[in-house]
Amino acid sequence: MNGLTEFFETTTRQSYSLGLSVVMHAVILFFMLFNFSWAINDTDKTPPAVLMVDLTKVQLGDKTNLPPKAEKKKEEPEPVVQPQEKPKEQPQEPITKTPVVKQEAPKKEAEVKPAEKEMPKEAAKVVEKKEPKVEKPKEKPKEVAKPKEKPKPKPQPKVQPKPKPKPQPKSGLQSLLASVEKVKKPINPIPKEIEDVDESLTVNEGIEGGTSGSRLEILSISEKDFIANMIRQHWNVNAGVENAETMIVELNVLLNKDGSVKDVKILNQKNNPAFKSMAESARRAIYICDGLGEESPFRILAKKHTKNYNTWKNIHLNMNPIKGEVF
Amino acid sequence: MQKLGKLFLITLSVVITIFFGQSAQAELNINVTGSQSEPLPYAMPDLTGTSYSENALGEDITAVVTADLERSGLFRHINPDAYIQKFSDTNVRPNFADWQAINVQALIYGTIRETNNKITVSFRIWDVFAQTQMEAKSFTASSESWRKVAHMMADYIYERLTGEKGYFDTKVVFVSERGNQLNREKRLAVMDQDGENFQFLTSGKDLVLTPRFSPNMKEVAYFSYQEGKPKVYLMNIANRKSSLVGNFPGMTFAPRFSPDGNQLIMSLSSRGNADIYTYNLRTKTKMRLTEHPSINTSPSYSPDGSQIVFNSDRGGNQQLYIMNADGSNVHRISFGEGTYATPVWSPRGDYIAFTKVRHGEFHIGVIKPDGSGERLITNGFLVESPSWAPNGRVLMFYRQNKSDRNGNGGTAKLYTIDITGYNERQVATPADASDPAWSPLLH
Repeated sequence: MNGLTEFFETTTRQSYSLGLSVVMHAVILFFMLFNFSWAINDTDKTPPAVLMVDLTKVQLGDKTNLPPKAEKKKEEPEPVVQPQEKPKEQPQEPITKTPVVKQEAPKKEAEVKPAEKEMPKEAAKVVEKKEPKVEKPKEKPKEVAKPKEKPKPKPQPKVQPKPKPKPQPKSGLQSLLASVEKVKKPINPIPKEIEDVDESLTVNEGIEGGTSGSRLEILSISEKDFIANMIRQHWNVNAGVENAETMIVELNVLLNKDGSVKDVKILNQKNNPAFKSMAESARRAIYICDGLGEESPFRILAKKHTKNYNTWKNIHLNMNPIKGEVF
Repeated sequence: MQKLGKLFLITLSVVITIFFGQSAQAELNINVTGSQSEPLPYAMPDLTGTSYSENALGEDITAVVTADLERSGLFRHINPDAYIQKFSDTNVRPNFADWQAINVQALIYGTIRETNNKITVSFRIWDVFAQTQMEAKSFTASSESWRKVAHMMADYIYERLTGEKGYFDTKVVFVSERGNQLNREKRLAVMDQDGENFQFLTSGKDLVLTPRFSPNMKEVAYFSYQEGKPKVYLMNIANRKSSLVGNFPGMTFAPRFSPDGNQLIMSLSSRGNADIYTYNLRTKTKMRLTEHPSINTSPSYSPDGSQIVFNSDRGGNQQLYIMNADGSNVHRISFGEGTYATPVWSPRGDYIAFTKVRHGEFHIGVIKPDGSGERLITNGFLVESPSWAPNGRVLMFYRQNKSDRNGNGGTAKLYTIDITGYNERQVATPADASDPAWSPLLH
């Protein structure tokens, strides 16, 4: 009998602690699911219904990622599949056919197209990786109305090129390997086109929220592009280094509240002296940007997003001197 | 209940950590693709001494270092007139704002001391924008070898800032030419890579071609008509004595050393055919590597000695082929238009330089050992004999102009060019020059 009572006592204790454990897990789950994002970011509360707005009038320059993401996630499963294929091809066609309103747009578009043709392998890889991002913006229009699909792709390319063209360096690594004549396979066959392609892709990323998009991220893709381009302009590398195209430098940049650089750390130190030199030049580029004073991309960032210091005080940079297919 | 309370507190703290930690650890991710490649702006004030002679020597050494770096095309020396801060000691910390103001990215300054006919050069390299010291170094040598010290210093700076080995403390052996093209005097000569310390190795009595340094820099292999036999000879640089290599039945030519210096590989021509042989300098034995009814010549070892690149017309016209060091596994790597010749494997291993003739014009190009990435980096009426700098980053070759029927004109000069195809520069030589061969790094 003693054994039986002991048994019942232990089982009640176990069930008691089990119940407590379940409750506590539930509490944790609750917090993880709802996260109180509303408490952190006021700006995120913009109403989802606004998404129905005609995309042709949308300016993507300022904020493109946050609001759309939240809504899209809910709707994603059904409509996604078919629309994805169309959008990829469509945006290119309208570009060439319609010289259109803005003068800048057609030029940039023209650059992008030849690039895709010439560099099937690498470009294709990059495109494939980032495809899902492209899809989302297009999904929205479908829900609104089918006929509106065509006009939609146009506005996207127009908006995107604005921030990018300025920073594009003429003397980038693209032109580093000279050839007396065009031979079959130059060492860096298509760096220029790659950059173009990357840009268009990153723009699309922005619409969806970017590769690293999170609810806490308040930067638009054009703002990210601006920072990336400023860094690129000041990143001076040794062109002929062996395997430069495979090198990716990871930096962690800590910023002060005013956008000045507090610290820069090279995250992936290696014994290879060529990589070390490359990484140091990347770090130098950050400090040079910092030295631009009010023109520093980080200070501009700080001014625009003063209240959201926590979201940008810690920047992770993936830097590739030639192409970024590894990203 | 106490247990319950503790449990609750723990759970609560975990939840709070998860919740607030998310915002605290938020990280903004940005990808940067692309970069610039321009000469790195650097400042290098003259090395400072404590006496007039030390200061004078400091100026000379600084001039050699900055000339070396400038010639590489990867560095831009900021005019010293713009320098704000002056240094008298290597222990003085730079005022970084002063250097940032004139856009200096790397700062090098140091001192020189001379005692008992020995000089000691100490210097530091600073990353001006990161505000950190990159390196501190000191060299000591006899006063007479101050140029060597300067080249070593340039090599060190080059390596620290580019991540690649330097190539300034090197020599070049070449053919110095003089006179009418119909009766040209050709002598072997050697000099520093910047044209200094020029010396003749042969008298000019016999025609000489294609000199090559041995890896230990003690010997030079070359082709000559001396002794009336057009063959490959070996010269001891120290005593200038030369000897015939092997006892081959026909004409031997196009010699190169194996990376370990034990073998000499060359072509042997007999009965209208040419094949590739090695000659072991230790055992005095020879071995035939190709046996094909076609011309096989210009062999060059890969840096690890496991493979050999050569050219052959076995496929109809002259193309590049690679085979194992024992002659097996021959396969063609070039398939372009025109004829390919004088392949040289880069010390870095990633490229093979070659000469290409197409549409009556010569080109110098590079190709990867797998046959991909062919790129022609310079051309002209006659550009020939590419030779790699020991770091595999720069090529030296010679460029010759057309001469008239009477043999006038046809000047030949040495040039260097970066592997990127940029920064082609003439190398200063006292007379016309051809067939350059770069030495290994001397330190």
